[in-house]
Amino acid sequence: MMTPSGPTTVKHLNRLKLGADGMQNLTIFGLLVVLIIVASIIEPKFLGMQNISNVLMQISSIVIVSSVITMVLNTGNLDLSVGGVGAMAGVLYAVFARAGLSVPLSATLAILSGGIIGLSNGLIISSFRIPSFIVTIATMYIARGIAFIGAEGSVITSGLPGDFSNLGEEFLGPVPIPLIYALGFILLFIFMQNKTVLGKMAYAIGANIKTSDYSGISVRKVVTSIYTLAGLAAAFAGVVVSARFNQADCRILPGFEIDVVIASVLGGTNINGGRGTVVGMLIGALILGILTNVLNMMGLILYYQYVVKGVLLVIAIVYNNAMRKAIRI
Amino acid sequence: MIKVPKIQINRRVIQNLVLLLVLIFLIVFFTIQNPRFLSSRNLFNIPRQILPVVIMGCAMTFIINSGAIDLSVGGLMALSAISFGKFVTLGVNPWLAVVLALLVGVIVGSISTLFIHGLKLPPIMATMATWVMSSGTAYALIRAIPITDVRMKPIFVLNTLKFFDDKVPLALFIIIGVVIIFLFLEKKTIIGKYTIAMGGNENAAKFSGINIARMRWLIFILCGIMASFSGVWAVSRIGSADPNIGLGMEFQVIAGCILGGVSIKGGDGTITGMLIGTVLLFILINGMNMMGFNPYYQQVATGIVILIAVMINYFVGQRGKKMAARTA
Repeated sequence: MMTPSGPTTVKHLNRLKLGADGMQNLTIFGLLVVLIIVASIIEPKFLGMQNISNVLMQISSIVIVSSVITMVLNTGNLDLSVGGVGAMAGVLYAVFARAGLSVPLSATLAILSGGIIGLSNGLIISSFRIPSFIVTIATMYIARGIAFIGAEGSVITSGLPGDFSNLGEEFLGPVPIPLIYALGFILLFIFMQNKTVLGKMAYAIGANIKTSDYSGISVRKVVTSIYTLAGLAAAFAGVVVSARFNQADCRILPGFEIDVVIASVLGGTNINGGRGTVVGMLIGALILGILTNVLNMMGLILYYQYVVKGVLLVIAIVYNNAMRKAIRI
Repeated sequence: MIKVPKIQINRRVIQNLVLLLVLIFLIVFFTIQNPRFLSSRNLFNIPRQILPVVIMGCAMTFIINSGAIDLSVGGLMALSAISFGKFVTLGVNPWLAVVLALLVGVIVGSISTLFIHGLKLPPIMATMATWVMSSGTAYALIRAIPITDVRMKPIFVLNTLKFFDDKVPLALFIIIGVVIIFLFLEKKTIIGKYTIAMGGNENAAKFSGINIARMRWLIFILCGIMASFSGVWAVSRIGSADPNIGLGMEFQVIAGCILGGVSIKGGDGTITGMLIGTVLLFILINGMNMMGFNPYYQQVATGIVILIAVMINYFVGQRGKKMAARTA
C-alpha cells in the first residue's frame, strides 16, 4: 500500500538541488516582489525616492541588530533584551555627552555598556544552561529601567553638544549614514556566518548542543561572544537612533525584540536553532518594513500594526517549519 | 531506598522556609525604615494591590510547571478591561459584561493553545504573538483613549467592599478563595500531577497516556480567566477601562513564580512557593516605594531579583538531583 507521501516530494525536490534555505529565500523574495508591486499599485507614492529612503531608514536599526540576532537564534537561543539595551545605550550616550565627555568617547562608553549587558546574558545562559528567554527578559527590564532612570522617565533634549547628532545625521554622498552602518553590519555578518569558525560553531550548537560539546566546541565561549556581539549591536543601534533624532528618549525601540525576531524568522531562521542566514534576514526585514509602510499609508491605526505583527510572527514560524519539513537536505 | 521522596519534600520545605525568613527580614527592615509600613492601613491595602499578581501566579505556576510560559497575561488584562468597558458602553448589564470579559480570556487562552499545539510554535513565541495581538487590539479598539462610564459603577464594589468594621477588603477573601481552589487543584486533582509530569518529560507524559494538548488547553484557559478577572479588577480599582492596565504584569507574575522556586524549565514548583515568592517580591517593591525610591528603580530591582532567583533555583535543583542520585 503506497500512498503519495513525503518521500516522493523530497526526492523530487532533491533533484532541484535547492536547500531549505535557498527555497525559503526564493519564496520570500517572491513575496517581497509581490508586496512591492501591490504596494505601488495601491499607493503611487510608494515608489517615490523619499518614501523608499524612509522605509530603508526605518529598517536600518532592525537590520543592524537582526544580523547578530540571526546568529543568536542559530545557536538555539533568544535575545529579548535588545530593545531595552538600545534605549539604555541611547540614554547613556546623552547622559555622558551632557556631562561633558567628548561625543566619540561617550558613544564608545554607551556601546560598551550594551556589551556588558550582552556579556552577562551570555555568561548566565551558557554557564547555568538556563532558558535564554527568562534571562534576557530580566536584563531587558534592567536595561530599560536604567534608561528610565537616566532620562528620568522622559526625553533628554537639552544640554547636548552640537555634534551629538553627527553619528546619525551625516550623509555619505547622497546616502544617509545609518544605511551605511546597516550595510556594513550585513556584510560583516555574512562574512562571519560563512567564513569564520564562530559562525559554523553557532550552527552546530543550535543543531545539537550535546554533540557540539562532545566534539570540542566550547559552548560557553561561543554563546557568550555571540551574546556580547548582540549587546554591542543593540547598543549601537540605540546610539544611532538617538543621534538621528538629536535626543535621547527612554522609550525608543518599543517592541523591537519582536521586530528583530520576525525579520530573522521570515528570512528562514529556525526558531529552534541550527538554520538561518543573514541574507534571508535582510529580505525578511524589507518585507516587515514595506508592510508597515504600506499599512501606514493606508491609514491603519498604529495599534492594529501590533496585531499584524503578531499574525506575521505566527505565519513566519509556521511557514518556516512547514518548509523545513518538506525539504530535508 | 525509601528516603528519596523524603528528600524531595525536605528540599521544597527548606526552600520555602528560607524564603519565609527573607520575607520576615524584609518586613522587619522596612518597618524599622518606616513605621508606617506595618500600619493597618498599609497592610489592608496590600491585598487590593497584590490580587492580580497572586491569582495569575496560581495559574502561571501550572503553566510553567508544564514546561510552557504565558507572556500574554498583561496584554490580555488590557484586552478584557477594554472589552468590559466596551460592553458596558453598549448597554450590557455590568455583571454580564464581567462574564463576557472572562470569556475573552477563555478565547485568548484557547488561541495560545492552538498556536502551541496546532501550529507547533514554541510557547514563548506563541504567547508573545497573542500578547502583541491582544494588547494591540486593546489599544486600537478605543484608539488609546480610556473608557469612563457611569454604568460601570456597580462593579466598583469589588474594590470598595469591606468587612469587619469596614477594614478587611473583599480582595483578601477573593485571594484566599482562589488560592484554596488552586491548592485543591494541585494536590487533589490530576491537573497538579499531570502538569508536573508534562514539564518533567513531555514525551514520557504523552506515552503514558496524558492528553497533553487538552491539559495545556485547560491550564491556559484557567490562566486566561484569571488574567481577565484581573483586568476587570483593575478597572474597578482605577475607575476606568485603560489600555495601559496590565503593562509589565507578565514580568511581575513570572518573577513571583520563579522567586518562589518554580523551575523555569518546568516540572518543579508549588503554589505555596509561588505565593511566598509573589508576596516577597511585592513587599520588596512596596517597601522600596515607601522608602521613597523612584519607581524606575523597582524595574531594575525586579530584573536583578529574577536573575538571582533563576540561578538559586539552578543550584538548588542541582543539589536535589545529586542527593536523589546518591540515595537511589
